[in-house]
Amino acid sequence: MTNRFESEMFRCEPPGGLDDATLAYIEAAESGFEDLRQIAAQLAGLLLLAASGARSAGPHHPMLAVAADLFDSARDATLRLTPRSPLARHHHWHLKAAAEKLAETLALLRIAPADSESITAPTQRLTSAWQELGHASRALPGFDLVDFSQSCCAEHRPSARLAL
Amino acid sequence: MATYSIWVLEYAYIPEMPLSALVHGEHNKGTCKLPYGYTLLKSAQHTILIDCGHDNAAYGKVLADNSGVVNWQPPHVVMAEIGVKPEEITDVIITHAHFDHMGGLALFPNAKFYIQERELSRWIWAMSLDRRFRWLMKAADPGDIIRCVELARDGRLVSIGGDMEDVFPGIDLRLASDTHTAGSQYVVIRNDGQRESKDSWVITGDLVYRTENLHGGAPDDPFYRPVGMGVGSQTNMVLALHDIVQAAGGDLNRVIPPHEARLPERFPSRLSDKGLQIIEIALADGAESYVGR
Repeated sequence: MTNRFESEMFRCEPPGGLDDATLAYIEAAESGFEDLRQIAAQLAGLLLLAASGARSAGPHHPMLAVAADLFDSARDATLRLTPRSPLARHHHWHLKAAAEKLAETLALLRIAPADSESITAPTQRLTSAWQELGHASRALPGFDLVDFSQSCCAEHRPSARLAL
Repeated sequence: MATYSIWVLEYAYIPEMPLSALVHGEHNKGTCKLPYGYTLLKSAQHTILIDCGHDNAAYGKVLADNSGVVNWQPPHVVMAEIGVKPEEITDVIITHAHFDHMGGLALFPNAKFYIQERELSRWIWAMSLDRRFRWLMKAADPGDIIRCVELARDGRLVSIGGDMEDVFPGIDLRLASDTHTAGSQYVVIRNDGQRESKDSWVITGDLVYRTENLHGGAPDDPFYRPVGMGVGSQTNMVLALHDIVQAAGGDLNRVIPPHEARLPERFPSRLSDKGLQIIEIALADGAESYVGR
């Protein structure tokens, strides 16, 4: 079953299926993508605390250090990837762009006071990072931005992940 | 005297959903339709939405391919069936932070959004955990948090700290902690405006999927049976079901689960030319019916 309004727009697999080089790249890139997604979520949470005026918000919040640690390893993993097909190189380009925007967001959050006035710039960087992750998720199969398996559409079908 | 007209508006659906996901323990009992819908309340003063659906631009492929969600229609198409435009929505009550209830934040440009503070804070807490705990984040979209940041910065996000009476005249919010999600809330509409209402309706969010959650499949000897999915306590879900039924004056027909496919059997309704249900739960005094009753 397909969604008649969207399925063609989002199609990312070539008609003949994916070549071995792309499949190998997908397998190697998956955990880095998930880490970048997790970092984006953590930074969004920090920004929401600041935007809401929470007292715990600010550069001292422990989640910022958690996100920074995870980012270091995720960025290294992303840079180590060796895409060997046009599809993989396209995906990798978006992944690197996302990492770059996340680095900028982290840098701003480390120096910014936690108030609603100062969140505009890091929010813009984070939004850009999220958009890059969205582009990456649509560029190849196997990279989902949202895990739907605990939602009310969860158990309709097994996840459409690739069998690698 | 009825203050609010109430419509449940279907905006997409899954044709075949395993019953076990909706009613706890109903394994290998087949499938049923699962509508996706939001609830619109309209009075002379307010146009309020309960939950705001999801934006197909963000999720369309994943939902179509993995979950079989079909026939998504945008709010301007869905709401036109009752003569309302998305721009006219002034307030949106978010029952919980799953993508299909909160993913449409950007589709209502003039609205304020009301969500339990606990729902957001526990969400943020879950993000801080090691990836081995990522199950706690399932069905939540970090993109929605980014949108929440912008809403909060613009003064359009209201975080609610527990139960709140008369958030709008005759409308109460009730927190159901650690149930379907950490900070789920349900909405009680006292449509006669009285504190001891004789005309109350409860919009449940995902605390109830189907009537079986309220009577357990045994209407003559009813028992509470939680939904099939949640991150909180089953016991809390059962206790919340009791509170919901009490808030509805003990009348199960006044408990409105927007995911219940059989609502059209209980209330006046019609199918739009897009194949989606418009269900008229109540009409305010003097209001026009949009289902031809």
